[in-house]
Amino acid sequence: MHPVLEKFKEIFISVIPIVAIVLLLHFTIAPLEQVVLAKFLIGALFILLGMPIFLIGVDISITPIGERISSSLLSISRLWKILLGGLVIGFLVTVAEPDLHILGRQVTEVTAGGINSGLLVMLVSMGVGLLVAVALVRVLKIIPLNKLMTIIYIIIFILAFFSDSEFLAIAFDAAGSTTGSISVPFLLALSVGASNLTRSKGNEETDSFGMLGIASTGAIIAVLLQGAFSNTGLTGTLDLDASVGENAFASVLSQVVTVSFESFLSLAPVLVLFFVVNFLRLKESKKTIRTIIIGTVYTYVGLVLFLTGVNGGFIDASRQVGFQLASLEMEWVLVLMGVVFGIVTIPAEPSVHVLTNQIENETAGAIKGNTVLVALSLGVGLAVGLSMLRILIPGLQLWHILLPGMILVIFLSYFISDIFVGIAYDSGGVAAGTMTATFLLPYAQGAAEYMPNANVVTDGFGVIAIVALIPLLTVELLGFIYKLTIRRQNKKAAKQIQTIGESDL
Amino acid sequence: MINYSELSSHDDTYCILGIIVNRGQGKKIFQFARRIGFSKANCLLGEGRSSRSNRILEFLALDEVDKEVILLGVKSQQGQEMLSKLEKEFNFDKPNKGIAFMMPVSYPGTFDREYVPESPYVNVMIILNENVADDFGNFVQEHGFSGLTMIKARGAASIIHPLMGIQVESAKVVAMMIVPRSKMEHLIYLVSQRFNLATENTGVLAGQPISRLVGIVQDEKDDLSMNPSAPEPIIKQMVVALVPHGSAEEYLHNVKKLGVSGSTIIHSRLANLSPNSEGLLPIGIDAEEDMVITLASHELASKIRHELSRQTFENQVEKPYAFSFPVIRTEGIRAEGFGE
Repeated sequence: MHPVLEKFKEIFISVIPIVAIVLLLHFTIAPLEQVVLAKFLIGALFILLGMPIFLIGVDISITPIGERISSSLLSISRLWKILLGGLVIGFLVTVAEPDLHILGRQVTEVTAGGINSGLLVMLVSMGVGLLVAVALVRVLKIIPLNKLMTIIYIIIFILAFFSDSEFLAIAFDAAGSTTGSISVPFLLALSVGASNLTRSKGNEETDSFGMLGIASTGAIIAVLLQGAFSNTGLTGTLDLDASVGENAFASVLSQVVTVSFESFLSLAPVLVLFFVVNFLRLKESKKTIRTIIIGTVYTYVGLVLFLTGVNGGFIDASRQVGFQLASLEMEWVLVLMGVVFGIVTIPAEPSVHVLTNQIENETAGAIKGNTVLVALSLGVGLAVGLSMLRILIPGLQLWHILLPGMILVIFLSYFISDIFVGIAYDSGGVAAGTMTATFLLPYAQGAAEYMPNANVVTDGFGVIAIVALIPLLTVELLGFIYKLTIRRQNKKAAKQIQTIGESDL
Repeated sequence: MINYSELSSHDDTYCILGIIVNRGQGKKIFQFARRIGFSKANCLLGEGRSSRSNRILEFLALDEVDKEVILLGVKSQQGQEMLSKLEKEFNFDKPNKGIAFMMPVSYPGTFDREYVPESPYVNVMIILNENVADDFGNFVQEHGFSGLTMIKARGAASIIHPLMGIQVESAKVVAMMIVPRSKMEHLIYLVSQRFNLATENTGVLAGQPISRLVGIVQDEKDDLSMNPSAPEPIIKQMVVALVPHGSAEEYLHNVKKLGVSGSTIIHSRLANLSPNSEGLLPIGIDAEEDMVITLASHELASKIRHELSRQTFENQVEKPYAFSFPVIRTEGIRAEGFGE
C-alpha cells in the first residue's frame, strides 16, 4: 500500500472510535435529532478526508519550514537578533490563530466589555512571542527544561494569586486556544530545527521538544497580567450559538466560507515567514520551494475540510449528547462518558499525529508514538472526567484541580529523562487542540446547560485548562515507568554481559 | 540466533543483511526475523525517494517516503535463504515494496585486501551536510539515479557554536544509494563535482560491495556485466560501532588517540523482537543506540575494534560491538580515519 493510502487508513482507524461511540449512544441512551446526527456523520466524512491530506501537507510544508526557520535563526551569531526573530515568529503564528480571536470575543462578552478583545489578542500573541524567544535562549544557554518550567510556573502561581479565579480559567484556555492546528506543528518543528544545531555531548535530543510547552505559557502569563490590571469581573453572559439550518449538508457546508478564510489567515504568516527567511538566508532550490508550496496547498485543503467537518458536524452533536446524558440525571454516566469521550477524541486530533510522528523520528523509534498516544488519551479522559465532576460538584473549583496538578507536574519533571519532560510539556498544547474545542468543550457546555446550578460560561471555560494540564501528568508518569523499566533492563543486561565475559570482537 | 559478536569467527562468511521498507512495515519484517530466530535487530529511520520515479507522485510532491532500515547480522548461507523468503513474502520483486541486500563484512585481524565481486551492484554511501540534503536528492534524481535513502546523522567533528561557546555537532545526512557497479564512477564524478567533495567540510563518499540483493528495479539500459575473476582492491574499511545512546562521544574520545579524526553518528535503536517484553507495563522498550561510522585504513580499523572490545559504557544493554565493511572506493577523505 502506498504511504499516502496508509495515512488514510491510519486516520480512519483513529477517527472511527469517536463516531462509533456517538452512534452507540444515539441508538441507546442519548438519541440525537435527525439533523444533528446527519450533520455529525457528514462532518465525520469531512474529517476522514481532510485530516490525512492535512497531515501529508504538514509533513512536507509546515514541518520543514519550522525546522529550517529555527535552524537558520539559531545560526545567527547575535543574541538580540535571535531574540527578535523568536519574538516575531511567536507573535505572527499566534496573532493569526482563529481560536484566539473567538476567545477574545467571548472574553469581551463575559466581562461586559471590561476587556478589549483586540488588546487581549495582542497581549497573548506578544506573550507567546516573548516565550518563544525565551525558549530559544534556553536552548542556547543549555538551561534544563524542568528548571525553566519551574520558574515559569512559579510566576504563574504568583500572578494567579492576584487574579480572579474565573480569570484563571480564561488564562489557561487562552493557552489552549493559541495552540491551533497550524501553530502546533510549526512550534513543534521549531524545536527540532533548534536541536539539529545544538547537539553536543550529553545533549542529544533534549532540545527536540519543549518549545510548544514554553510558548503556550506565554498566553497564560499575558492574560493573567491583563486580568490583574484591568480589575473587571465576569459579569456578562455568553450566547452559545444554537444550531440552525434544516438541511444537514447545507449546514455543514455553510461553514466552508468562514473556515476557508480563517485557515488562510493562520497559514499565511507561516508561509510569509518562510519566504522572508528563504530570501534572506535559506535560498532553497526551486524544487524544494515547489514541494513546500504544494504541501501548503495540501495543508490548506485538508485543514478546511477538517475544520468544516468539526465545526459543522461535531459541536452540535457533542453538545446535544452532553445535554441528553445530563438529562438522564445519572451523574456517573456523565462522568464516565466524559472519560470515554476524552479517550476517543485524542486520536482524532491532527496535532497529536504530528507529535507522535516527531517522537518516533527523534528517538529512532525507540519511544513508540502509540505508547505516548495511549498516555495522552488516558490523560485527556481523566481531564474530561474531572471537568464533569467540577460541573456536578459546585464546591470543586478550577484551582482545586490546577494547583495540585501543576505542583505534581513540576515535581515529576525532576524524576524523568529530559526528552520526556519536553514531550510532556508539549503534549499539553497538543491535547488542547481543535478537537477539544469542538467536541469536548461542547460536551461539557451541553451538560452544564441542563444543570440548574452550573454555569455554562465559567464551567465551560475551565475544560480546556484541565485538558491542557492532566495529559502532562500522564505523559510524565509514562516517562517515569520508562525510566524504571530501562533501569531494570540495563541491570539484567549488565548481569548477562558479565556472564558471557569478554568475547573477541 | 546469530549474534553480532559471533561475526568474528572465521569458519563462515558473515554478512549484514539490510532491509529497507516503508515506515510502518518494519514490524512485519521484525515478525519475519523473529520466526527465523532473531531476537534483536538494529533499526534506523530515514527518508527515501521511490526507486522507480513516478511522474505523477513527483508532480504531486509525494515522491518522498519515510523509510525504515533494518540491519541483521547473518551467515552468508542463511542470508541467501532469507533474501528469497523476503522476496516472496513481502513481494520485493514488485516496485516500491522494499529492498533487501547483503553486504559482506570484513574479517577482523586479517582484513582482506581484495574482493571478488558477487553481484553487479555496489552501495554508495554519501555523508553530507544536512542543509544540502534536499539539493542532493533532487540532483541525483535529475541525473537519473533512483532509489535513495537518507538518514539524519550528526558529525562528530565538532564546530564551536558562536553563541553557546561550546562544541556542537553539525547536522549531517547519510545518503545510501544502491547502483550498478558500472554507474558508480559516473555517480561519484557527478556528486563530487556538484558538492565539491574535494574541499574541506563538504562531505565524503564510500563505495561498498554488495553480495546479493532483491527488490531493486532493473533498468534495461544498465550494464550489469561483471567479471568474477577480476578481484577489486579493498582500499579502506568502514567501521560501524554500536554503542549505547549518548556514549558515542565517549567512544570517539577513546579512539581519538588511535588517530581517528572524524566520524558520523546515527541515532538508531536495537529493536527487541521477543514478543513478551518484561516491564511494569506491557510496553516494549527498545534500547537506543548510537551508530558511529568511521572510514579507516585496515590497520586503524583493527585498532579501533580492539579498543572497543575493552570499553564498557553506562546503560549498555549489550556489549558494544563493531563490524567493518570493505570499501572499494572513496572520495573526499583528507585525513586518516576521517569519516565525516
